[in-house]
Amino acid sequence: MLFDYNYFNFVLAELVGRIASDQLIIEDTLKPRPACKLSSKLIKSLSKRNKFNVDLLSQLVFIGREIDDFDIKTANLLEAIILAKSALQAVDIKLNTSRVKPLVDVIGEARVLSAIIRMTLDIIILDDLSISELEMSLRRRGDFVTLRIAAPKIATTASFTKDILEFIDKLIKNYGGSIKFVNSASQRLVFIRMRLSNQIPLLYNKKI
Amino acid sequence: MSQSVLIVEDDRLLAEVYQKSLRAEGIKSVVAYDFADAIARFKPSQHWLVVLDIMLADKNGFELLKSLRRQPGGNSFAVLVVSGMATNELSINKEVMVALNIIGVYTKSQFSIAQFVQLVKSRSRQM
Repeated sequence: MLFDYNYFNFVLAELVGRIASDQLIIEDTLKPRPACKLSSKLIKSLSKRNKFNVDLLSQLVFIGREIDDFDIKTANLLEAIILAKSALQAVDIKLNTSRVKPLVDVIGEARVLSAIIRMTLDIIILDDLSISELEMSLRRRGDFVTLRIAAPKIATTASFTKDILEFIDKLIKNYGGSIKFVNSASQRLVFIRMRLSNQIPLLYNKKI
Repeated sequence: MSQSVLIVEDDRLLAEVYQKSLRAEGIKSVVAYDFADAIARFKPSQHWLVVLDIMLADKNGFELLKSLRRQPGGNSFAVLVVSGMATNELSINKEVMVALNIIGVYTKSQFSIAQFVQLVKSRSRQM
């Protein structure tokens, strides 16, 4: 698997900086004579953000630690999704699988796919901490299966989100897949497109 | 004296923290979330300080600074760089800081809100 360690280090440094920065603010407000008086709502948001940033960090560290051992294999996408979403109990995630039955085997490694989906969910929530519900659906078309995640629309995308997205995109490309964020009129949509497992010979021959 | 601080920060939550902390000290501020937003909100006669993030979603913070400086009356404001990047990555030497009227370059993870408020407050007294 081709892995961009430089980019990985860049994203990791950025994320750790964000966690430390939020922590500094939270600590500032806890002092007996706080230099900044922030509302409890704002402090709660910072704490919530820290929680998701730490989750993102744990996924990144997992990928960085294990990446050299990953081969191109096949994985059940549905299992990877269920594993990823089960970790996010703060948000109600509805999953519609009616268009993909009975089997969704894709090119990829189950643990990496699960980490990728979890990171994607993390950044969607980090962009809008008020999210309480997300909808996911799977759709098979041709040799691809697409995981669609629908979230409320946000005004602008932060540079950090774009950096994480680029990292995820680099990871998925190793499996011949892609990720795309689209702002529709009323929603923010994320499409994770994966190749079905019958495409493995094609992927090996092309050396993506 | 001009009236307010322009906070250019794409992290909405952090921008809110900056704004509320300054408001508690009686310092008015306006927030811009990206390059285009900052260009639209910038008023040379009103902003005496620009708090500048470097990694913005659409363009680099230094490109923004260049554009703001080019505007009529755009050379009067001071700049406080607060970035997620480490200060050695930013590598701004003292001559450049003086030339661009940059009063400080800080990394977010090492720059507390208390320091931020104190710095802006002390600078506002000098204006």
